[in-house]
Amino acid sequence: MPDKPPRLATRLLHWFCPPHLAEELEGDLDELFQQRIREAGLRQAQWRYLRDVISLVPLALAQRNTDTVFSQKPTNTIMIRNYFKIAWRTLLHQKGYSLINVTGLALGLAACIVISLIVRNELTYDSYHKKADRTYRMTVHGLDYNPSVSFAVAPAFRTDFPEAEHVSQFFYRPEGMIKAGNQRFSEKGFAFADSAFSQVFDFNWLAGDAKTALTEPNTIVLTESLAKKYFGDRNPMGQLLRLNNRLDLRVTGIISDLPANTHLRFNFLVSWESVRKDMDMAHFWSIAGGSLYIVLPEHLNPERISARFPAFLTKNWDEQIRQDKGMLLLQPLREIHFDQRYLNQITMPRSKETIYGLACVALFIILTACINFINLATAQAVRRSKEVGIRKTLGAYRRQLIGQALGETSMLVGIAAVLALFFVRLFLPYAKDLLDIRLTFTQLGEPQVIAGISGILIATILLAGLYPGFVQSGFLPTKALKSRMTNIHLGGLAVRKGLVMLQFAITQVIIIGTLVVASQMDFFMNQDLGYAKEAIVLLSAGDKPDVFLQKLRENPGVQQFSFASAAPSYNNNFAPFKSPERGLHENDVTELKHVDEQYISLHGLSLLAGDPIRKRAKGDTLYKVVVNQTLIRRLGFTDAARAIGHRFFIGNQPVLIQGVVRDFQSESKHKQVRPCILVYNPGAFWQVSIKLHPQHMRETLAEIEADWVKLNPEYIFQYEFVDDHLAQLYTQESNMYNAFRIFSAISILIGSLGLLGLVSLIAVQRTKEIGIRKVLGASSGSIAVLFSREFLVLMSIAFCVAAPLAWYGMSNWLRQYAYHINIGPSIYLITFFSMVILVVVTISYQSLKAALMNPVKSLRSE
Amino acid sequence: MKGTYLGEFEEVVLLAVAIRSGDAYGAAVVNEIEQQMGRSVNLGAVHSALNRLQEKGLVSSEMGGMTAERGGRRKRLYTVTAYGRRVLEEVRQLRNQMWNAIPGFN
Repeated sequence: MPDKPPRLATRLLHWFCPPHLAEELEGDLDELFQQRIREAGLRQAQWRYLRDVISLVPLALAQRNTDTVFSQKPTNTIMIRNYFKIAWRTLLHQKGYSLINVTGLALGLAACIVISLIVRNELTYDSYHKKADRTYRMTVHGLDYNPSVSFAVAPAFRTDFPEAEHVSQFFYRPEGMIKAGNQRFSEKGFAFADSAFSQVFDFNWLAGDAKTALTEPNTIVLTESLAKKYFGDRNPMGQLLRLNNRLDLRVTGIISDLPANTHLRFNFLVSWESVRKDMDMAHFWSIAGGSLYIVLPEHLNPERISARFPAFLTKNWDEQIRQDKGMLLLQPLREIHFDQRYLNQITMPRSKETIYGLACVALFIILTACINFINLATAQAVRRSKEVGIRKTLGAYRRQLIGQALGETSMLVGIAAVLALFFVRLFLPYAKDLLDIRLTFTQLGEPQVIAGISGILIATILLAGLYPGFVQSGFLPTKALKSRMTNIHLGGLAVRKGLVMLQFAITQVIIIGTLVVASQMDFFMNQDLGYAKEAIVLLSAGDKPDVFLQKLRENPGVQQFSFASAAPSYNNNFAPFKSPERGLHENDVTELKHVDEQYISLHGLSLLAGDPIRKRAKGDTLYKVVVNQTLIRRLGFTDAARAIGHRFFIGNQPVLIQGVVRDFQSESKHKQVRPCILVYNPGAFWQVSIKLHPQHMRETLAEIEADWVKLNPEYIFQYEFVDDHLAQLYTQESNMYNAFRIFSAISILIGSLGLLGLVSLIAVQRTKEIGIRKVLGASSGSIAVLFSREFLVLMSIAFCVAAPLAWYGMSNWLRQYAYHINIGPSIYLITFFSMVILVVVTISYQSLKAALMNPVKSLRSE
Repeated sequence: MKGTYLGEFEEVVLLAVAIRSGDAYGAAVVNEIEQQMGRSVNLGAVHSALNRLQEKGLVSSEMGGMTAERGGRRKRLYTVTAYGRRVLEEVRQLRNQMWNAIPGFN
């Protein structure tokens, strides 16, 4: 053993010396050291060694950052280049496998990105306004939860609660007619709003002053797209528009179109001052009312305000409140989108369950894709055992091998991510139609979204790459190099089986979920609603109903028509009712429909007892009404015939029951059927329902339009078919259904892709086994069964897990509907057998190929 | 001697590389100088000089093959370039010229 140079000096050298200089310098030092020991002795040599090392410091430091011909870390770059080369070669070598892996992952990522955008959109409703956290909508809880309050409240509130920062009156109208120049446009959704409105909500003002635009009467603020529609490239500011043939308005501002994630819906705003004087400002219980938004000062607990509401009500409307009880509530702005107690709103609230359900689906999909990846990569690892063996023999550390696996995963995930963005890009234009959510590609550029997507990618890489990495790096080099490894050596068989099972379970949960949503939808759309919906068209009665009536009578294409306040599928007129004689002292709420004598037969309502609606004779003071079953049940009758002739009160007006009809569904099926009263009252015939002969609907409709337009030159002809209207009531459900359909299809597709890849890899690995089995007399059929059996068993076990989980989740979802289906065994049976078919079909090609193979070929070489 | 300034130590190192032509590496140069001049030099000084000479283009270098000595570490072998040789000759000529100019010396 030659003598060693001083340790301290060696350390020093290693510490400061750049790697590319180390070899030659150490060599020189060592040579001189050995030589000097011989010539001058150990001490002297050590001393000189130390001096040399110190003398080298400035040189080494100067050379530290220079790039000489030999780069600083030659081994690393070469190694990394090698990793890339090998990764690329494996990718190309296994085209089918790579294709399955990358497409599956890309589909999963794309679905995940789209769902995240949807969920983000839903959860950020109205949260972008600066004062969102202290903005509240004032609502009233009387007989019902009502999102709008009387116009009388706002002025009184301003006086009694001076601490409120802003109080804004917002009066939404579903439809308005604008006359620009000589053209008339019917616009869906506008609102009257006061000047505080633009202080409460932050809009993007393109022109005009946010603070003053809505201050004066007869002013209008347009959204950008509407301004373009009316004025093109001309400057809209200061131009005049006419609203509903009544108000001349001056354009005082332009705002950007509203984003998708707000509960507000309007195309233009008209200043509240324009209509304030026409409104009922005295009564607390008033038919007309609007949304009332208030902004509280910072750090003020809203309960301190709402605690004073009872006193506030008594002070202002003592008598009215004593007669009909009611309570004001403060609803936080950010809750509006999720609060399902209020159903009569501009935008339907969406339940948080639905949103979280979607998020779960996203999670499931990405999980399925990752499991695919893990399974395929682990199976693939066997093929690469030789590579790993050689790498290990040449001195690769375990963490280097794991790093390599993770690197390859990242590469695949990277390719998949690019593909996924491409898919998302293709899909986004359809999002509006399918899901009623406006998503744009630019949203992907927002920092939060980028962060979210990177998060998904990193999670995917770790999830999909770590396990195969560990398995691969855990091979013993001797075993890996000695023989062709089989599956058994992996030891991860149980894990893989577990993963496949998990995947099966996820797919089945999603299938069951989709089936439940589908049957609920079917129930919504096709169940007996209690009234006819075919070939009935609804339109406004117009200014001259008498003449129009005559025209309809003469039209041969019209089977029947009826004038009324509202068709059965509409619900917009409520009244309180009571019946002290039947023990109903408190007011209960009922729907009130003013109808004519054709109504019941045209809409196919079925009369259970008594007489239909008749014209009221002149001078008859007693109102005779037809009611529904729910109402008589409320009055304590079970038999319809018994209720005939009984008296009760609508408000303070006594009425007599002359007939009873079977319950019909006037609102969406979210809600229970309410008590309903039909009464003859020509004063409120606003709407015409027309039953058309099915053969010539188009022509008849054109004739009706011509007549109507002649009678109402100042208006725009609009009509709606009953079944279209019904479909609209359930847009939210059908969106949900669409989402489930799309995403479950993707999830099932990814699942089968994975299964396909896995089976083909296993088939290749088991070639010898199959050959031996065949030589020993196994039939092709029995081998095909052997292959399918394993997966079918896994699938069945997964089913036992999935079924109760899906049942639990979906019953929770169904609970939000007043009328819903029960999850019957048929749904489970369908799921199970469709999975069996899916599994058998997916693996049949590979298993048959394996079974039909000639054993001579597979056993020939060893 | 116009373009290149060659320091005294640099000249010595360059000469040592020329002497050890074919086997001139750090330690060898140190040995050569110590033997020829009888004074001890630091390895660091030699390496710095070699570096400077290389930057000036007077020597070139490459890593040599592996040998059993020095624990299998490779050597960086320096060779005098054609330009280096010319500079050495110029220096010598200049010196001679000056020697010849000393009156009564030869």
